[in-house]
Amino acid sequence: MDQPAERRDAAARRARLVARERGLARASSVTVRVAVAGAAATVAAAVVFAQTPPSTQAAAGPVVPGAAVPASGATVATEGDGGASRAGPPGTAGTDGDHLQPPNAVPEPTSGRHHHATSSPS
Amino acid sequence: MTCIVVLAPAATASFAAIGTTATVVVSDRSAVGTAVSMLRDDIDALDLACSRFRADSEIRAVERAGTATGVGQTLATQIAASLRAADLTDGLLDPTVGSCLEALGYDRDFGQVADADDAVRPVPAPGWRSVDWNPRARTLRVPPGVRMDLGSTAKALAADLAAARIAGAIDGGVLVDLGGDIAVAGPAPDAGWRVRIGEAPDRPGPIIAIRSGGLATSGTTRRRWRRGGDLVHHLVDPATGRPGTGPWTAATVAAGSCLDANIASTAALLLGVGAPSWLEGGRLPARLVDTDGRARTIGDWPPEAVEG
Repeated sequence: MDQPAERRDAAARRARLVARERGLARASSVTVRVAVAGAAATVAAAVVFAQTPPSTQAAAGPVVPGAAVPASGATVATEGDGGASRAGPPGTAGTDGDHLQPPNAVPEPTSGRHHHATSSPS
Repeated sequence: MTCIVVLAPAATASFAAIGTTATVVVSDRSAVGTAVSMLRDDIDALDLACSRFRADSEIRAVERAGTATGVGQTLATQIAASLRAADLTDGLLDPTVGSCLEALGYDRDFGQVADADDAVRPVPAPGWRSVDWNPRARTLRVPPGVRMDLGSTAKALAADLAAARIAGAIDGGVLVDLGGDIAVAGPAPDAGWRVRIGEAPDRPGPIIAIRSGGLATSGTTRRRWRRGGDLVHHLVDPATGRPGTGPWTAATVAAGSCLDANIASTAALLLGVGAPSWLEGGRLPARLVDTDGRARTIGDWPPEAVEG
């Protein structure tokens, strides 16, 4: 890639980052629920995480109507659910995050060599 | 460098990032470009917010400030998750282990960590309760001298968030793999997302299929180096500042999210002999490998199939 193209690419990525952070900040008055337990809930989480709501009031209802909100361990609360400043309070991360969430569907046995990814020590 | 490998019926793309490999797999091949772009953006944001190796990261700036400092949404989400992990594991996972890891020599990107002749002088973690996090004001204060390390939770949570965000933007399902921390979202392939358990470089483990949530493996066989005459690794017991010791060299856990899977797999290694009962109590399917290479499965972990 030539240098002008690299500069354009870098500028575009910086702009996306700024826009992304701005969108997240506007959504910070709501509980950010990370859906990992189904397609509908995933859409709901993505709406909160990825979109910039028109106003903080509008952001108060990020869940797609009818979508189940999973009791995901990744649920994270920001403003609106906390109390006074506390050091390491229990339940810091969310109202339903007070235990590690088991999988909705248990892992399944499979055979063959093809795999999509490898879970290795990180 | 980006390396793209197409696997029917899904499409996969991998690239180097944050000292590891990031991989995204999408069931709709036409969406792979979008998925890669979104994942890159998320990783860039994660690195800028949370890296303890970057002088310009947000977490380093908070450390230097020493006073309550407003933080952006990415760091806020990560801090909240790290403190929740500490709470749920009674401090086995502690985001204030940065100084412990530095004392062990892990003070730069792992690829640059070198063996050294001087002996380890362990430093216990100051403790996660010393961190003052105000979620309402979204301010964070880190006491002077405390070094934060979000390594126990950051990549896993980032994988969850990226998978959810990508699944919301494309048709079909997605798997995000950040250095072995795996999150899936959206509709799974008919046979599920097939994941090989890679507990050790020379010993590929079984392949299992997951349909939702996440999968994480923690282990002591990678990210290790020598200090003096000791072989040390990055899984530190916060109470002692020493690398954890115990009967397990690897733990893989499936959970409702990659974050929870990674919290559990890391805690299991540090718990040692108490890990099986703790995992069973949490209804977390798991696979533990002991120092002799013997595997023990927990809960609903599937029977291991013979490769065809």
